[in-house]
Amino acid sequence: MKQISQSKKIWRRFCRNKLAILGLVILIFFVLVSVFAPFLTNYDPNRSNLRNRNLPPSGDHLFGTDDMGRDIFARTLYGGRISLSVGLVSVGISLSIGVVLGAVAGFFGGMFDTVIMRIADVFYSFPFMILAITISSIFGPSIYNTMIILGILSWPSSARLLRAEFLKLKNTDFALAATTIGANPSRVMFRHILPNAISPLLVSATLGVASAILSEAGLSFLGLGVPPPAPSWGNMLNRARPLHILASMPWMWLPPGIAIFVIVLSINFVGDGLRDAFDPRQVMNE
Amino acid sequence: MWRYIIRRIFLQGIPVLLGFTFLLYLIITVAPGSPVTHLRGVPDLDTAVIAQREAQLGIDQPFLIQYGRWLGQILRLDLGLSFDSARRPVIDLIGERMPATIILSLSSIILGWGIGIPVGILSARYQYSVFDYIITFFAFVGISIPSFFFGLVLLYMFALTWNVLPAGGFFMAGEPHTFVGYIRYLLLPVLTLGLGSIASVARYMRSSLLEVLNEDYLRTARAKGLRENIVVYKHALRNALLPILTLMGFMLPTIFSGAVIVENIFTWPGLGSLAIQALNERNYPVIMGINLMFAVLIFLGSIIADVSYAFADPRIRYE
Amino acid sequence: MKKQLVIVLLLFVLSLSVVVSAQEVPVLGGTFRYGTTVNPRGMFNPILYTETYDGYVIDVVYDGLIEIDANLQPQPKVAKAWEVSEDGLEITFYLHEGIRFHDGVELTAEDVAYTYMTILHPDYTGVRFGTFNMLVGAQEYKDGTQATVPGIEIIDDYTIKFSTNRPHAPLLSSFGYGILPAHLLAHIPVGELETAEFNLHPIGSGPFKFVEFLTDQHVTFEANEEYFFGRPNIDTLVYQKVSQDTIPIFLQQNRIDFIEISPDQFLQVSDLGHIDTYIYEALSYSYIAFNLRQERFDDVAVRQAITYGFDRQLYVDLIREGFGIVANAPMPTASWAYTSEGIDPYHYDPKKAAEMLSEAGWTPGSDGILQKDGERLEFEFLVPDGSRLTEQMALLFQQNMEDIGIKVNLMFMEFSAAVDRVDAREFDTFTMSWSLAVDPDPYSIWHSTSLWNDPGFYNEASDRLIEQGRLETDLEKRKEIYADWQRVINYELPSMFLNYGVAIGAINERVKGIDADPGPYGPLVGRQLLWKIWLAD
Repeated sequence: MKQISQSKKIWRRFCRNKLAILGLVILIFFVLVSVFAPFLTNYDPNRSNLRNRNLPPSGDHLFGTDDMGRDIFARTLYGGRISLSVGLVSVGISLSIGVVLGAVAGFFGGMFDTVIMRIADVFYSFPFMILAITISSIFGPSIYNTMIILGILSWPSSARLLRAEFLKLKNTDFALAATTIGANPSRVMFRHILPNAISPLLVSATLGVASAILSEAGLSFLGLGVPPPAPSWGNMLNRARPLHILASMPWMWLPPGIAIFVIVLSINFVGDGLRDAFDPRQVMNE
Repeated sequence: MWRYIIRRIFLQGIPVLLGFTFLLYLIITVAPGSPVTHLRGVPDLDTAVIAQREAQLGIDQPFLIQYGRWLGQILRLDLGLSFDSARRPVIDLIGERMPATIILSLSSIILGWGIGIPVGILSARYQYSVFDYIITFFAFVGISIPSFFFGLVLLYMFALTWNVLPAGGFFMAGEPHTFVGYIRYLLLPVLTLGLGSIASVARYMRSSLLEVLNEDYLRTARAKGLRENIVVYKHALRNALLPILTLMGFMLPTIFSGAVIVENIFTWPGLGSLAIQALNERNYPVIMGINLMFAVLIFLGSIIADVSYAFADPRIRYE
Repeated sequence: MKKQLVIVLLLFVLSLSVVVSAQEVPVLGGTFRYGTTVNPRGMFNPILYTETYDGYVIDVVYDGLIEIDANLQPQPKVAKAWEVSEDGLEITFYLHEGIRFHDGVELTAEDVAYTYMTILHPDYTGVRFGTFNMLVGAQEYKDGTQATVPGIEIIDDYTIKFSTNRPHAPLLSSFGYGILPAHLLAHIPVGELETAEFNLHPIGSGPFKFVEFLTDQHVTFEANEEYFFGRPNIDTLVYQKVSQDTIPIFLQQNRIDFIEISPDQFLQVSDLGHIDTYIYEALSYSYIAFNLRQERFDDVAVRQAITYGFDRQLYVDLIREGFGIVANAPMPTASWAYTSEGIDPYHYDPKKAAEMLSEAGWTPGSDGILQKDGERLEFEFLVPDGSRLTEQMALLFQQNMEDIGIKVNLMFMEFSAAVDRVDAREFDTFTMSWSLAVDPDPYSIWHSTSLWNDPGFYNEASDRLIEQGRLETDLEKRKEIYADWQRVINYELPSMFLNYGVAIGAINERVKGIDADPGPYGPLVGRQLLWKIWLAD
């Protein structure tokens, strides 16, 4: 009962943040549009028609066509699928690694803690992009490699976060109570402590999706992200690199550019709203 | 304090670096591609020459021997010779490009912190004011634009359309070496790289200051009738700046990563282009050298952040 | 060739006559900036470098015995003349007297001998031995069984004779390598030459003196006042690094005077009032290689059908924006050995392609993909990434093949990884391109015993003609041999040839004295004209 009213309270606080609500609406819109892409356009995003290259927006091609004569509207929709899944899957990977390792380190402490946190330091202290470039250029660019790289390189932050929460919660009354009545450790960890650690994790995961989308765009810019011909917002933007396209064919870079910007912006709004909603200090202020 | 630093270097730094270099070397040697790819197409070449080259570079040996040799060199403070045809010492290749990357990164940090901190303070001081909303909005915008795209747009506007700033490079041969001259070249890349840090520093500063302002002792101070400006600038600020110092350590990797992309756009003669070139050519010693050097720099950055934290806050003592 | 191209070329021929009639007196002084997109590495040693851009530096710092002119013919340089013996086995070079290195020491036959002996030395770490291994005694010297090379003989200070075991037609044009100063290098063991300080501070006898190499920024040179053939008109030469994307801005801002641009930059650059563009046919071609070790590709009908089924003209016209010439044999139009006689153009004809495939026994399966004996006509197409033109070509190829019932799976791969697959022969098809040497000898790429014969092509007639071409020193007879060879390849199609390269040079109008009707090396004839050009105003 307490749990329910708690999340209701959070939701109510979240709703008070107008930017966060706006972000959430936009986010849902983008997700829906990407999921239902095939119903929104008849064009195959990868089918090129060289006779229709570089066309400005028109009734036939809402957003115009690119230098291969592919429909940019279709590519933006399908690109959303790829960009969003890169963001979600990579955060999923980093969360699963981070949660398990962070929980183990925080709950058991001692040797576990030292070794895991040392490994986290290894990952944490290296220049993300340079390592990402190294790995992705070596294993070859592909959607899956991009997801894995982004996921594997970012788990330490969620591990650290969870570890800190665990250290804090381990000694709270209910965890101690659970242990004293003989519940096994993993049960204590995942049934009792984890739900309480979820709020900071959710915030960091949300922001993680935003930064993964940006990282994918950066990798694609260097030709190391999602490889052609599949569209991602990052590689679409990369195709608009030549200055003559930048100067005279804005329809090629505006849609993916705006899409990245808006989606990252709204994810940030949502993340910020969540943080405020979860933060008990904010409650005190009210 | 010194004992703490030494302990961190030996107990944390060295094992971490060892593990990292081992993994990295393993990855680059098992990956497809070979350092002698550039010999493709050389007329009248026979396999003996390629084999001879491979033996000379040592890449005909198993991984463990290669890594062992590399590590041996490192212990003698030698990064080895580059694998490309010029066979130059890796330390020279890195040394030549290091200044450009350092200048770019440092300037961006200065820009990010120089603007981000005051803006963050004002934004917290006047929380929920129009100013605060504008700043918050722009900070969000700043962290939501892909940096390469921002760079291209700057390039397009300032160099191509208005023709007021150079399109890239560090300096042109033959131009007089003036301060303003260097600044002109530095402006666009630094702005591109710094935008993100301005935004995130301002955000962190704001929330850190707000957190401190809600602490009991400041409430008490206010209750005692102290003016808000004195509360904010004299009492709260010092404590709010502390967490920001640790942020410095964490932002270093981000700055270096961003530099790779920015250098690529602005023909900036830094380590980024060397790194990409070395990767494309499977130039093992150069890849290792660059990654190792960044790793050491970032590690030192985190120690400095910790130490300065301790200096700033007398309650913290490292044993 | 595309019409647009012809018109543009015509225009330039016209403007040439104007320039010639208004021939001005060269002006001395000024700085010329030559744009490059890749920076040199710092191996400024003619016998050790392998990177093209190191070669750029070497081109202006050193002079070779000969130089190759805009028509790809050898011309005297350090050697004022040469003589080829009746049997084609001996070449004697007569050197100019009084040529000096930048440090003032005179260049003699001693230096020439040092340069070429080093290439043959057992400890030599470079890659040029194969080019000179037919010199008498070269192999024995390399193997260490002999202490001298009888094939390199100093007659006197200004005369040197090279003799070979057998006639080797491509040899003469290989004597363009810059001559090294023996007095500065002879004391260094050959095995340690590649790490010598000299390579970073080169001293040659060429028109420009090396001044400074700033990594990823520029290389600067000053005019060699004492240059034997006359002081360069410009005072300072700079090789300026430019990133590919910003080339148009660098041109607009007058930060570079010359650079090679890509087809998609052409329109933007030609809009700039003060920049002239020159279009010229280059010594290169792109291709799609078939792995002939696989049974399906071993059938010449399949290779021809695929070629008929790919609209290469559309690729050249639209994707390359007309900058390219559809190729049907591996001998560029820019080469003197090129022929169009008896060459099948394989005009795009999907119907014919389909017919040929069905005659060869391929029938459509239930999914529309052709099949034969249970094997589907489906293959992997390896595409090294990095070039948008190649990427677009690959997509077009995939669609064209789909139209005739062939399924192509694109594999975009980083270059080095792709080369790995090609070297291991683990590919079905791949695309790359070759830049060719001056001499048309196709041995290194197409002889069945050669390292770079990636398709695994073996054809008796082809091998025989290639070998004959090397032995024949008479230019006209050699042309005939290579024409025959092109017809063999044109029929066999061990690779599908896509296009011969067409390059575009963009040059500031203030630059005078350039080759306005450029040959395959462009308006500056490689970098040869750099010491002759001058800057107006």
